[in-house]
Amino acid sequence: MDVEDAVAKDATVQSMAADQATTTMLQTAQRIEDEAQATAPGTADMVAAEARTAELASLAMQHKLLAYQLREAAIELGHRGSILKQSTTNTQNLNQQILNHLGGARCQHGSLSLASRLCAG
Amino acid sequence: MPTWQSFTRKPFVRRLALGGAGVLILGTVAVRPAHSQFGIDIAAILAGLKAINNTLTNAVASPLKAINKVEQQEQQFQQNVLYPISAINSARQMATGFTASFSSFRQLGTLNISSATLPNPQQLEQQMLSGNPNNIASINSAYHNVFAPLPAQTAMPQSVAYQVDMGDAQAQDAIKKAIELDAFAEREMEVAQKLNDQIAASAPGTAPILDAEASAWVIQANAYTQMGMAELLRVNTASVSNRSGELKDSTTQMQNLNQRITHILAPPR
Repeated sequence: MDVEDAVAKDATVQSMAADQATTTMLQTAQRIEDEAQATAPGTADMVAAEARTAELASLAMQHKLLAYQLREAAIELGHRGSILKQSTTNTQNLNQQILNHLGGARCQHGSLSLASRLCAG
Repeated sequence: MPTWQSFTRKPFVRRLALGGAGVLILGTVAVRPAHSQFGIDIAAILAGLKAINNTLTNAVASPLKAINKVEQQEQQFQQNVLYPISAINSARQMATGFTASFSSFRQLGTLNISSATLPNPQQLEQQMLSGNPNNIASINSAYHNVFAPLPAQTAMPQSVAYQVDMGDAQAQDAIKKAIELDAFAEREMEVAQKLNDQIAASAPGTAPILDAEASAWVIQANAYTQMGMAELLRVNTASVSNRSGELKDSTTQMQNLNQRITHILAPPR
């Protein structure tokens, strides 16, 4: 539970950071567009290279977000697995307690007691 | 009678005058050009030089002037239209202005946002957020410390054991892929910042080289994105399969329970 809370909080903080990065990226795109409209034919390559560089930075930010999505999905999957594990443990404990109350013994094959029938079921 | 008339009437004088005139005419018409000391014809040389001079003036100097003029016009075209210094400086200033943005991106990517409070979750969270591929090897133990190890195979039905084991594997794969993606993202940020610095100091002629390099990185980054999305798809698929597996397992358990109840209620033989 603690790690799930932590991942949820981390992802929330990262989403806020991503919002800020998005704002900056939009400003960058606007600046590049303005520059492209005022640039000369020979210096357009510089603007294009800058745009490509900004695209790379944007992809890097996407990778950070994708990593968070992966972590969240992994934690969710781990949580489901842990529920099954916990359920198995609980069932084992419950069975043992029932057996203890009913027969006072662990499962023994060949016995005709009610507890052994439960075990064999 | 004048004196000159008396002379022309004399035959001797007349012959002498005619002979002198003939010699003079012959000397004028039939004289050979003078030669220098070494037998070189100066006049011919001078005439040749003059011809060469005329040729150079007409056939070479004029085209050269035209070429020079074209070159000057081209240079002016490049300076005023293609590569004006104002445009070069403006592009460089733009790149310089982006330096702060790229630094900001990198800082946003390296924020310490750990928030787990218990030791085992803290360890898992730190490794998940480390962005250090060297930590991938120790994810397995950190994961099982938080989500518990797989129970013994006799403790649960085989189908459930498979399901849990596969789910754990997919979850760990996703965590490892997330660590790789964080490392890629950090490297991409670093390269973007470096390319930006190079553009700020580059000439227009070298910009296509930087553009090509950035394009290669973008293609690579797109490939990493696809890789991450494929991993996300697998994790989500595992999650969907888990839900389906739970339903199947629930049905099987219900059948088993029914059988057990029937078995218990039946009179002993």
